[in-house]
This record gives sequence, structure tokens and C-alpha cells, in this order.
Amino acid sequence: MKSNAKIDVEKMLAETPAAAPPEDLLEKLRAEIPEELPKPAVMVPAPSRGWMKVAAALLLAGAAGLIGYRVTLDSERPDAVELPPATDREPLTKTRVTEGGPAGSVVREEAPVGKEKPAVAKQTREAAAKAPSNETLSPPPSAPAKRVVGERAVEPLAPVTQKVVVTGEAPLVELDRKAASSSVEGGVPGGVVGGIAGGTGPGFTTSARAPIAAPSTGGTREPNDAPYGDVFFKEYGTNPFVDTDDDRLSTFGLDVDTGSYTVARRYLTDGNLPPREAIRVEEFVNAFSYGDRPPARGDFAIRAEAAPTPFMKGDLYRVVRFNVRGRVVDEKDRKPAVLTFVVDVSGSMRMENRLELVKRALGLLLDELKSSDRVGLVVYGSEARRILDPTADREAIRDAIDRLVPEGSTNAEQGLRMGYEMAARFRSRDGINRVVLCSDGVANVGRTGPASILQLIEREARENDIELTTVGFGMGNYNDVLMEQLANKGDGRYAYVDTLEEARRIFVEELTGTLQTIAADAKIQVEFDPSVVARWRLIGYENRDIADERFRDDSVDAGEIGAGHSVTALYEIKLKEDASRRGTAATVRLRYRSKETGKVVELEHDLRLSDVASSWESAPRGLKLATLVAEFAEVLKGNYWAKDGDLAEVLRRARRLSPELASDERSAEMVTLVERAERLKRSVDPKSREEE
Amino acid sequence: MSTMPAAGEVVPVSYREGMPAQEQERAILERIRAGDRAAAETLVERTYATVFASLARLCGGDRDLAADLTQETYRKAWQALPGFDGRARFSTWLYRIAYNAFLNHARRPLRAVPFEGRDGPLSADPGQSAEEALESSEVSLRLGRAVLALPDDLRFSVTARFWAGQSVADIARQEGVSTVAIRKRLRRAFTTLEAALEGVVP
Repeated sequence: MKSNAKIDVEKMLAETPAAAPPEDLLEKLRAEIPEELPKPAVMVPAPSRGWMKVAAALLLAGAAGLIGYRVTLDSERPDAVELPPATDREPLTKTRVTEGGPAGSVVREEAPVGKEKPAVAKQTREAAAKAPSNETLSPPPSAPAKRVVGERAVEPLAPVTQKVVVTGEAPLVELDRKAASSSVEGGVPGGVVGGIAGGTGPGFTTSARAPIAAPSTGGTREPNDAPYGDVFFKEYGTNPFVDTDDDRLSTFGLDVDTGSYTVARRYLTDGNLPPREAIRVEEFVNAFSYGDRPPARGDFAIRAEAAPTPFMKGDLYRVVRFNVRGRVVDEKDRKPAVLTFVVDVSGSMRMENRLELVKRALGLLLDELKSSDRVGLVVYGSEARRILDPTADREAIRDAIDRLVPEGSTNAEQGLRMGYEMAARFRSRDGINRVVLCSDGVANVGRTGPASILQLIEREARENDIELTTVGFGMGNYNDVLMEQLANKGDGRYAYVDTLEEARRIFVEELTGTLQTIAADAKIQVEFDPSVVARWRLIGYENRDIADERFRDDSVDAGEIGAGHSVTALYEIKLKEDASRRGTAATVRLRYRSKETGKVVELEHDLRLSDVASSWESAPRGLKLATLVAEFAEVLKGNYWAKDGDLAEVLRRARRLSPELASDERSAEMVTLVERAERLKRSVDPKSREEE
Repeated sequence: MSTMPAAGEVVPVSYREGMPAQEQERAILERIRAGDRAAAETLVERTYATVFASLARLCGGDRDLAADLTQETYRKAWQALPGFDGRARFSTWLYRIAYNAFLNHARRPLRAVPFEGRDGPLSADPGQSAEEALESSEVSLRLGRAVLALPDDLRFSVTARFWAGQSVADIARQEGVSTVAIRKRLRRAFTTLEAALEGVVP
């Protein structure tokens, strides 16, 4: 009977009787207070997520008289500097501005940057050998950039003639032999050929169509052993160790995707080991937050830290963490957004309730949007349909979402086309324009296949500034390659959602927090000092490789970074035995085009030897966590460099670290995942894995 | 809820009656920082009943499990304390740990499944009459199940607000979302819960 009296749930909830604790509980809890009391961090109420971070940052900035956090980087302010928290003792981050042309223009190498610039081009051996003596003499803090620079051996746009020497034994990575569909082209940076691991990216190309046409299904497993049918991943190889004398520069595009981690989690949660191609180590690393703070001023804070790694034998190895943290944009200052959702309602979305998850996720997102934001909706099954033109009417949006039901086959191409048309038609000139594709990534109907979709979104990104976020749902019949590639081309991001909790993280924290892109085509170049660093290895970022010569070529499509985004890159380095304890081990440079001013900005930051922790135990927490996450990913991937890696060891260390992170859901979750993976790996006959 | 010192509790000098709860917490934490064991015990005494009670509700009235998870919560909390940044209140932070401990427990079987409330009545207030207790146990049972069946984000918000007595502002701070979002979640949860309770409540 429906009574007229409204049920007062709130009152009932508030009055739910409280169970009294058992009598002996308090005694037990008292007894468990640790012998040595932990020291809580300093009690500064510091909101640290989402726009609250901004509020705090603004307050601080205001208090310090730095009002106007939106620092305009122009040549009058050549040294706009971000001030990391004083306790971090970080050297200042230098900013340089290049009068940047639009994408496509060739950078003027010399102009404002001048002779302080280190070589863009690959160092010749001689130049590299010449440099050290000068470098060690120059006092690092005052003149960090005054380096003797090798002659430019290669013109900026000359073809890649990278010379990379893979040191050590040739890593025997048991690559998926079926990767025969990949064509290895010239200039392979230590490329992956017939089981010899090394390079990546440009050298290891496959036509855009290939991963779809000839997928390496499941990869490390026999097809009939695969936990999910038709899951498409692509293997990008593993970066090699490089002798600093041969190549002191490491260049790559930033990547803020996290999809790989969530996909792997999905596998593990279901009781399966993920195939190795599903693992992109940098996406694991970037799925975690390491407590890096946004800049007080400027677009980015750069952080560099290092410590001995427990995962490499020999005491000369260090793990290095570089972090780039984007400025946060206050919710109220964020530009209004036009979000066009392109939702896959094909029959496959009925599986595992995927569509329901999408709908719930969209509902969560609506809560967080500003009233000036508009949301449009396109769906596609066999055909694409316009459901709702972008509107700010929340009820209409919610209604439209509620009515979605799975239907027909999958015409992703038409769906995306229609989504882009809508986004272009309702484009907000000063606002944020983003298409959000929610799909299981399967595109099985469409005239021209994925290559033409990729072209379309690349063009739209360039011409109309419409960005793309791809959010993957579901697992059976899932296409990781397409989703990642789409986001890559569309100046966007790729995430994978397996649970509603993840949906909250992606749609609420990530999507709204980072809606406003602050930097386009962000590239990183790390320069190692050959007098200090004997060899180095970039962990992950295999499919983001950029030729060193093209670091200052602003037409290269690289990573987009949203407000508040945090991107981490890890290296393993081996120090020279006789290296001095002072000076600079490496310099990291970040180059990007500011979304606000359109100018190309270059920041740099030194990793000083005095900042290298003396032991693992004394390493910063973020560095420890990142190292463990990377090792976890590398062992899962079966990377050569982690061949002696042992999940039991990762687990032991993660457990020791995890209590410090217990309030962070994701870090706590990692321990569970490592546990699970370790058990699964033990239960799988080790031979059967190797034989494949 | 029970953030004020219980009757008969020894109140350390550094905080006073009437001092805002948050400042009291801070004062206690400061003393723990200085290595004061008594402060650590005070912290446990002040918080454990709430932690237990909220876990007991999450566990559908299973008091043994709730007691285990309470111990688990404090074990984790002690270890995690150096990382507590004071963003949200201590008790909200502690509830997040308790809630995670519960989630971890509920997830232990390989797959994440929707939570179903367990059978068995929630323990009722001993001060109630038998009749009242009977009626309220029926309703609490139904309500408890409905709460457990909520989507995770709604469930966390509702349980933190009503079963752990945290303020909306603190929940928002802990979760890193706006208070508006938390309020919206609560309202959505109410709608779902109302639907679930229709017919049970007179």
C-alpha cells in the first residue's frame, strides 16, 4: 500500500540503532596500538583533490601575493618559475618561451633559446665525450643549462638516423610470434626483431588497420585458453638499456592514459593473468597518484627524484621518477564545456550490463558538471542516431540517458562521425569541446574501417579543436588497440571502466577535473650526463617514442595534458662507478604548446645528485609506490628487464608500503591485485607460459 | 555521532569540553605526534564505537565480523597515520579505511558482486520495548539491505553520513568531490531507499 505519508528515509537512517561493540574489543584495540607511535603528518587542512586543490592553491597564491594563478607566459616573463613546496627543496624550474607557431611550423631552434640550448640533435660520440669535463666544472645550481653542446649532427627534420646501442645481453623477450603482422622498418631504435627486445614506437610500426585485421588474440595464451574471446591488444616491445655515451637523450610524448591498468585489473579480478600486450607500463604508473603538488604558478610543476632500486642487482642502479603536474583550474574558472557523448548501444553492450554501467557513469558525471556546461548525445548500433543536441537541461539529459537500450550491430564509424558533426555544429568557440566515446571498442560495421575514423578525428582535433576521450567498457570482444589509438589521434585520453567505482574515478575525478586541456603536444626530453650516468632505460612509453631530433619540432603530435593532470615517467639508470656525488645527473625538459596563449613553452628541471636518496628505505613514498607499480607491470608483462622479478617480492614490499597508503583506495587495491597475480602466476605451470 | 567524549572518559587536558570536535582531534593527534601513548588510547576510545557500529551495519549485523574488521581498520590506520594529511577530519578518514576494509572483505571471493544484505536482524537498541524492537528490526533489516544494494558511491556517502555520522563537507573533502555532488548522491540514495521501503513502513 502506498501511503500518503512520505517515508522519511533520512530520519530512519539517522536513527538506525547502533550495535554496541563487544566488551573485549576496546582492550584488543588498545593492545594493538603500535609500540612506536606513528607520527601524523602536519595537520594543515589541505584539500588535495579536484577543485578543492585549486581552492587551496588559490588561497596560498593569494596569501603570497601571487594573485593571478593563470600566469601568462610571454617573453617579458622569461623566468616564470614554479615554486614547489619549500620542503621539497627542488631547484627552480626554468621556463623558456619559444615564439611558437601553430602546429606545422618549424621551430626556430636558435632564436630566443640561444646557445644555452643543449643539442637538439643526437650527440656524436666525440661531443658526448667532450662534454663531461666541462659539465663537472660548471657550478650546477647557478648555471644549470650552461653546457657544452655537441654539434648538431642532424638537421631538425632529417630522417631518423638514431644510433642506439643495446647494451648487456640481448634481452630474450618471448614476444608474441604472431606479431609477424608488424613490419619492422628502418631506423629501429634497438628494435624488436625476432625476439630481441629493444625499441619501440616508430620503428615498430604496424599499419593502422593491422591490429584490427590481424590481432594477436590473447597473445600469451592459446586461443582456447583465452579468458575472453576476441580481445585485441598490440605488443609494442620493451625499451632497451642505452649507453649514455652513445645516446644521452631520451625523448617521448607524454601519456596520461590509464586504461591498461584497469584492463589488467579486470583480468585479475576475474581470475586470469592479463596477456602481456595488454600491459603498458606507463599506464599502470599513471593510474596512481603520488601526491605531487600542482604548481603555485605557471602551467606545470616538475619534480625529479631518485633512489637505489631494489629490483636491479648491483648498487650502482637507481630508479628515477620524473613527474609533471599540471596546474589546476578552479571549477568556477573552468571554461564551459560542450560534451558530446557517443554511446555504443550495440548488442555487445548488453553483455555484462555494459550499457547500464555507461548510464550510471553518465549520471555521476552530470552531478559534477556546471550549469553552463552542455551535454549532447549520439548513439550507434547498426546505425547512428542523434538523441539529444547539446543542452544544459539536466532533466532532458537524464531522461535521454535513461532511455538508452542495447540494439543491433556496431557502426562505430557512423556514430563517431555523427558525434563529431554535432560537436562541430554546437562548437563553443571559447569553451571546451570534447567528444566522449563510450564503447567496448568493437567497430564491425562501417564503410572504411578504423583507418578512416582515425583520419577523421585527427582532422577534427587539428582543425576544430575538438578533443576526444575514449572510455572502454566490457571485456569479451574488447578492442584495446582501437580505443587507445583513437584517443591518441584525437588529442585525448583513454580510460577503461570495469566497475562503478572506476566510473566515478574516470567521470567524476578525471573527466571533470581535467576537462580543460592546458597543454598540447607535450613532449619530454631527458638528457643524462654521461659523466655521471653510464646507462639508462625508460620504463614504458614504448609507443610514445619520438626521435630526439624532433623534440623541438612542434608539428609532432604528442600528448595532451589536462588541468591538474599528473604524469610520471620512470627510468632505471646505472651510475658511473667514479661518478661524483655532486652536480646534475640528468635534466628533464618539457615542451608543449600552451592552450591558453598558443605559445610553445619549454621548461626544464635538474635531477641533482644531492636529491638522490641514499637508500630505498629513505626514498620518497611516491617514488617507492611508482617503482613497485612499474615492477608489478613489468613482471606481468614478462619484460626482459624484470625477468628476475618476482611478484612475491613486489607483494612483500607493497604490503610494507601499503599501510602508509591505506586511505588511498587505489593503492590498497594494488596489494590485492599483486596478491592475486602472484597466486595466479604460481598456479599457472611456468613452463606452459614460456613455451607459448 | 559519538565524536564527543563518552561519559566517564578521561579527557586529556589539551582539549576541552565545547572545543570543536575537529580541534579536539587535532590536539589529540598533535600529542600522538609527540609520542603520547595516552593520547593514542584516547583516540581509540573516542572513535572505536562508531567504527564498530558502522561496520556492524555494513556487515548486516554480523558483530563478530564487524569486530574483526574494526581491528583490521585500526591496524591499517596506525600504519597509515603518517600519511594522514588532515584534508578531511580524522574520523572521516578513519571511516574510509573501515569502509575499504569492508569492501576488501566483501570482495575476497574472486569477483566483485553486488552486495546483498545478510539475513539476520540488526541488533536493536537495548532500551527499546520488545514490540518496538520487533518493528524496528523489520524496518532496519529492509533498510540495511537497501543501503547495501546501493551503487558504491551512493553507499559510501550514505553510510558515511548516517552510519558513521560524518558531515557532508567532510565526506566531500575525503572523497575529493564537491559537497553539491555528495548532497545529490544522498538525495538519489533517498529516492532509491524510499522505493525499497514502500509497503514496509506504515
